[in-house]
Amino acid sequence: MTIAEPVRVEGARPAGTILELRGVSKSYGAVRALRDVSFRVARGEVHAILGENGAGKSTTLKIINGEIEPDEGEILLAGAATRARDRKSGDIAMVHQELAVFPNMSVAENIFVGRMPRRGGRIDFPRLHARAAELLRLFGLQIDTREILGSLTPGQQQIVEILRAVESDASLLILDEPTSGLNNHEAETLLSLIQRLRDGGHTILYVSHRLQEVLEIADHVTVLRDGQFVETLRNEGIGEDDLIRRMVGRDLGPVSAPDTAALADAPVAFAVRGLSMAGQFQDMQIEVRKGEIVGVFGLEGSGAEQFSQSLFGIVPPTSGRMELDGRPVRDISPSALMRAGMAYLNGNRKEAGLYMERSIADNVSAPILDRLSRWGMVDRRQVLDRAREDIRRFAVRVPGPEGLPKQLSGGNQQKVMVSACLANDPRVIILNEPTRGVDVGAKAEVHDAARAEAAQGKAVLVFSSDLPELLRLAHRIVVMRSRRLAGEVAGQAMTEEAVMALAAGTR
Amino acid sequence: MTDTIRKTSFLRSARLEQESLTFGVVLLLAVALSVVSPAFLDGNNLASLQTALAPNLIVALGMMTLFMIGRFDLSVGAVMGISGIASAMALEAGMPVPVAFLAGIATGLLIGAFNGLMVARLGINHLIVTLGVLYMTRGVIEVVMSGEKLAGFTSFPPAFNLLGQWEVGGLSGLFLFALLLCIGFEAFLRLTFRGRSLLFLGGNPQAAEATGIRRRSTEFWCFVLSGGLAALAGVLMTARVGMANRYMGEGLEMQIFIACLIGGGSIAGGKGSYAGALAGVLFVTLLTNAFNLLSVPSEWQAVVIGAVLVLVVVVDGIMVLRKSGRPWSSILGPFPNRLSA
Repeated sequence: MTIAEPVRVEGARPAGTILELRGVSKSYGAVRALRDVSFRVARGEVHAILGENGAGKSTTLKIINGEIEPDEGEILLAGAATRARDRKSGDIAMVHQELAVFPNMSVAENIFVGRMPRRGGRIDFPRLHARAAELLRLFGLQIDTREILGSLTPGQQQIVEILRAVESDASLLILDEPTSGLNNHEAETLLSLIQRLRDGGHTILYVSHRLQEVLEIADHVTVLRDGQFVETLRNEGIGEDDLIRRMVGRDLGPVSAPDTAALADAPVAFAVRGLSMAGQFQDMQIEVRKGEIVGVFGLEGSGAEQFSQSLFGIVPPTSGRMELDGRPVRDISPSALMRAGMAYLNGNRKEAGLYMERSIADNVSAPILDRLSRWGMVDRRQVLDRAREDIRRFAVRVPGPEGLPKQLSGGNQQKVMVSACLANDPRVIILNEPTRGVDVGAKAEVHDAARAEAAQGKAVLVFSSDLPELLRLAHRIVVMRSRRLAGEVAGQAMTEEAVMALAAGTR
Repeated sequence: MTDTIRKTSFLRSARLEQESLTFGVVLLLAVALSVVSPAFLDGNNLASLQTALAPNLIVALGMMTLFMIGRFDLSVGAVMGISGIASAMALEAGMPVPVAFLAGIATGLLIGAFNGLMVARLGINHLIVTLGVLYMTRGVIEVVMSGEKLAGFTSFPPAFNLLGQWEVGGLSGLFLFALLLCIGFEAFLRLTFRGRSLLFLGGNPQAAEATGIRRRSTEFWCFVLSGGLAALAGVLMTARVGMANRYMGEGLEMQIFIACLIGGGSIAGGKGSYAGALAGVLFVTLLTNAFNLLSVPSEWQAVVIGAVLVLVVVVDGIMVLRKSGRPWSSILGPFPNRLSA
């Protein structure tokens, strides 16, 4: 891969390159997060980084901010090679996607933590509040500096956190999805803030999923795909489609278009009507018919993850309705939903998926122990028979039912999880990241299992951040953006571009 | 422009909402007591109130410091006991009063340092560590105070007794000292960055570390402080009552714990003030006093203090759920899992 020639910045802004990545690579175990990434950021510009989930944006930012050391390559700041430690303590301020604020402290203290103005041994509170008020006013925020931060909206809290980075006066400011938690008004405030900062000579490196925003304020856009550098574009005469085309374009392999005609008449097995959770997602609507596989896609921060968890009552929604086979669900707790015929595959294998210290047999029989028991006593022989059957059915590569999940590869663990999920013969199946971190073979087998369930008339809802997976698996895809339903694509229109346009764009 | 900004009230921005509530309840309690029981305003009763308040407040200052960073110390009662005994033993060995005083304090500092090392360096849960140290210390006290020392130490030089018995204008010197200490701590908390950093640390440990606050060393020194203050209370009380026995400070940790919670602290950290510690200690001590004055059996004292604690925590928990947007029906209704359309 060659180093792309960066486009020169014209105009009166301070010239030169503030940041340059040369051949940066980083692997986590067998997963290559970044491969030979090289690009440059000019001093005094707003530079956006774009890419799908898993394209390597976060890793890139963390390396630049000095939180992790790359395996290969170097990072130059103002022309000089640097180590992670130098960058961490250096002239860079980063605002992470997750809030890192102090909800128990005042707005002013949150902005100035670590750099409190002092007089003698004491904090100079009058100056602290005066300077904080000045910063807030500068960016058009009507907030009392003495207000406790926790009582502000998440969006306001995020802006306060950004002001903290601004106040540090670092010349390179990194913002990781700063607008994902903001409403439109707040996002506009932030964008004008970014423009003011650029006018003040700061350089801003900025990751966002909102393409319109990027086109509005970025001078240059660097696109990453699958951990690799694609291109640095100058933001002149380009549109959303140009960006989407460069973000997508992975090799999908042969796609067998599923036959959707027969599904239109099938009865609705699972319906979600007006489901909301305060601060997480709003007014979600979905219908899944018998035999149908519906995908749900959303970029990070879109609320898709919280939505999936609330469907199974893990984090209960605050309002709305759910229906199973046309009958309203009354009790939305995981155990009641399981009794009602629903099953949920947890997206996190290690923490919430498997009993790592218990045998495969125990794992797959856990959801249906009452059915494998007689007179309240667990029938061990039935448990083992059941486990052997599942091992055969899902081709789990394991010596026997007494093996432990922690001895298995990720793909085989995932197959054990799927069989545990399907153990109680559910009518509605919710799969959450069904193939995260598994190899190609296991992926295909999990997909086959999902298709087989659908073919038997089950309703399947798949949440995945892996868009190509959804495109191959689902009959239609429901897209979330900004914690709401953005739209739906199906049939011939179901392309990566169409989904990304809904997830990141303005349509 | 400024007039459109909603101003934050002082109590809210100073985070003294629960503290002022507790102070109000304390005031009501005092007024009610003086009406119901004439003995309440009696000189003897006021003097014994001050004697009971002083050590509790000193220990509560340390406990509240730990509450702020999301930790607590259950060994304070035992530390109080063993420090008094250490001072008494030093005196019996013929050491001068200042040395004996320091011997008691050093005992507490050492135990605090042990707690701090275990929690801050080895990352062991503070509940387990301080509970274990509570048992260990109580055990050591039993060992030391066996045999001929079963009755405890009672004969101290007058200079030592004076440490706990001095008075200023008819008020107990110990009580005034504890109040001054409390004011000093409050000023430290409000005015200095070190004081504020306790609350930063409790509010969001990861973010605090990222902004350069040293979590481990702060934790360590907070435990040392808690041990040292408990020892100070223990030595001063030994001097006050003129006796060191194995009962001093027994069950005190729970009383202090409850006082700190009622006074606005939270075991989750990031909350609390030393004024609140004072309010909580006042409340618990007054309540105990009320039971004595009204000759309620002592068993009921524990029931009521515990019930007040549960009430405070339950109300707090409900407010947290309300804030996260849960409707009342899902919090208090008979079917918490039911969806409301």
